[in-house]
Amino acid sequence: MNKFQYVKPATLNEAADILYQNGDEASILNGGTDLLVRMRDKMIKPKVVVDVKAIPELKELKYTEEEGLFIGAVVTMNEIVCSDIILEKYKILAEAAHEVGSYQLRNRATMTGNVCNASPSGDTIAPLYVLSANIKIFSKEGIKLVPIDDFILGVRKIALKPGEIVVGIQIPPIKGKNGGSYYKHSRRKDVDLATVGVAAFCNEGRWKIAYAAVAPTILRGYKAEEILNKLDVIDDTTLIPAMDAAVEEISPISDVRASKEYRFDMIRISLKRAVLAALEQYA
Amino acid sequence: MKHSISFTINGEKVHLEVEPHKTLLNMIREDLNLTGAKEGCGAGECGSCTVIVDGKAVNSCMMLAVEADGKEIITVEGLAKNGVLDALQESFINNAALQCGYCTPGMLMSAKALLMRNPKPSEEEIKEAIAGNLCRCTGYKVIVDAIKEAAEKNN
Ligand SMILES: Cc1cc2nc3c(=O)[nH]c(=O)nc-3n(C[C@H](O)[C@H](O)[C@H](O)COP(=O)(O)OP(=O)(O)OC[C@H]3O[C@@H](n4cnc5c(N)ncnc54)[C@H](O)[C@@H]3O)c2cc1C
Ligand code: FES
Ligand code: FES
Repeated sequence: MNKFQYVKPATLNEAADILYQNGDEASILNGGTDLLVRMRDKMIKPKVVVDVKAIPELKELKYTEEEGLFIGAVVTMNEIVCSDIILEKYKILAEAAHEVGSYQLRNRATMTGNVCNASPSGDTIAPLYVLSANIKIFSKEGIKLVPIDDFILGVRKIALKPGEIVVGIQIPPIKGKNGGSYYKHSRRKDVDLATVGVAAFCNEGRWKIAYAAVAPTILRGYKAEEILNKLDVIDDTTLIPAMDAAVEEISPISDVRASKEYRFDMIRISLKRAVLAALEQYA
Repeated sequence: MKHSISFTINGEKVHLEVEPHKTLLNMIREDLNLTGAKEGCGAGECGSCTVIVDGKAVNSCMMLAVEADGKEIITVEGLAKNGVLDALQESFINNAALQCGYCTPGMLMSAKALLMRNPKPSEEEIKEAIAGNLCRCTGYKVIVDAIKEAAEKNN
C-alpha cells in the first residue's frame, strides 16, 4: 500500500471540508473491504483516507411508519442481517446482506460501501432497486435524496461530487401485502461474487425485478415485470414468458466467472427462483 | 505522519505509534511479535488473519492498524489462560483438526467469536462462521467436529 494521510472526522461538516479540499486525492474509508483491497493492489493511490466511522449520523438504523427504513452508511452487513425490523419488514435486504463474502467480512462490510463501490455484482444493489431506495447525501449545501438508479452511473461510477458524502440509504415504507427475494447464482456458496443475481419484489400484485452482474449497472426487468403483473397464477409453466423476457433484457459479458451464454441461461432459472421465493414470502 | 494509538490486546494495554498504511495484521505480527495470525491472501479471501476486535471476528489484513485505536483485540495467543489451553484448542487437538496448521489460528478465532456470541451453535451456524476460513489440508469435517465438541464442553 502507498503512504497516505489518515483522518477521522467527528462531524459531517468536518468530513465535507476535508473531502472538498482534497477532491480526487481523497477516498472515503468505510468497512474498507473494497477500498483497502484496491489500495493494496495499487489500483488507487489516495493521498488522504477519510475514515467516516466516527460520524454519529452515519451509525443510525431506524424505522418510522412515515419515512420507512434508514440504514446509516456505517451500519455493517451483519447488523443488517440481525436487525429485527429489517427481518420483519424488508427481509430481502437481510437475505442479500447475508450473501456478501464471509462472516468476518460482514462484520466490516457495509451496504453503503456496496452501493458506492457500484460493482455490477454488488449483492445488495439489485434489492435496493426493487425497493425504490434513495441515497441520502450530505454536502455543505444541505441534504439531498437521490434515487438509487440515478446514483449508480456505471461500473464504479456514482453521482457523488467532491465534498459530498453518503449519510445512508432511505427505503420507503411498504403498504399492503408484499414479499421479496434475492437469488444469487455463484460458483460456490461463500466468498464468491454473483455470476448472475435477480431481485424480485411484489407489492399488492405489482412486481419489480432487477438483474445483477449482467450489464455495467444493475438493470430493472421492465418486460418481465409487465408479464408477471398480468399473471393470475404464477408457477413453473406460467413463468416461462417472463423468463424469456429476462434473456432479452440483459447484456452480459464473458469474464472469469462465466461466459455470456451461460449467463443468458442462468438468468432464466435465477428469475424463476427469485420470483417463487418472493411468492413464498408474500403476505 | 505516525499516529499514536492505544488499545487492549489479549488483556494487556498497549500504546503504539503506527504509520497509517500499516494493516492491523502487520502491526500485530511486526510490532507486537504475535505471529499466530497469518497472512494467506492479504485480501479478505482466506481468513488465516482472523482476530477478534470488540467481540467480532474480522480479517486483520483488511483493517488499518490506526483503526484499532480504543479497541479490544484478542489473537490466538490470548486463548490459553495461565498455561491452560482453551476448550477449542483442546478439541482441535483431540479431533486432529489440523495438518499443516496454517489456517488453525484463524479457524480458532472464528470459532471463538462464534462461541462467544452463541454458546450452542448448530452445525449450520458453525459452517457459516468458518465459511471465510480456507483450509487446504483437512477437508473441514474434523474442524466442524472439534468446534461441536468444544461447544458441548462449554455447556
Ligand atoms: C473477500 C471478499 C469477498 C467479497 N464478497 C462480496 C460478495 O459476495 N458480494 C458483494 O456484493 N461484495 C463482495 N465483496 C465486496 C465488498 O465487501 C462489498 O462491496 C462491501 O459491501 C463494501 O463495503 P465497505 O464498507 O467495506 O466499503 P469500503 O471499501 O469502505 O468502500 C467502498 C467504496 O465506497 C466508498 N464509500 C464508502 N462509504 C461511503 C460514504 N459514506 N459516502 C461516499 N462514499 C463511500 C469508498 O470510498 C469506496 O470507494 C467482497 C470483498 C472481498 C474482499
Ligand atoms: S490474509 Fe486476511 S483473509 Fe487472507
Ligand atoms: S491445516 Fe493446513 S490449511 Fe488447514
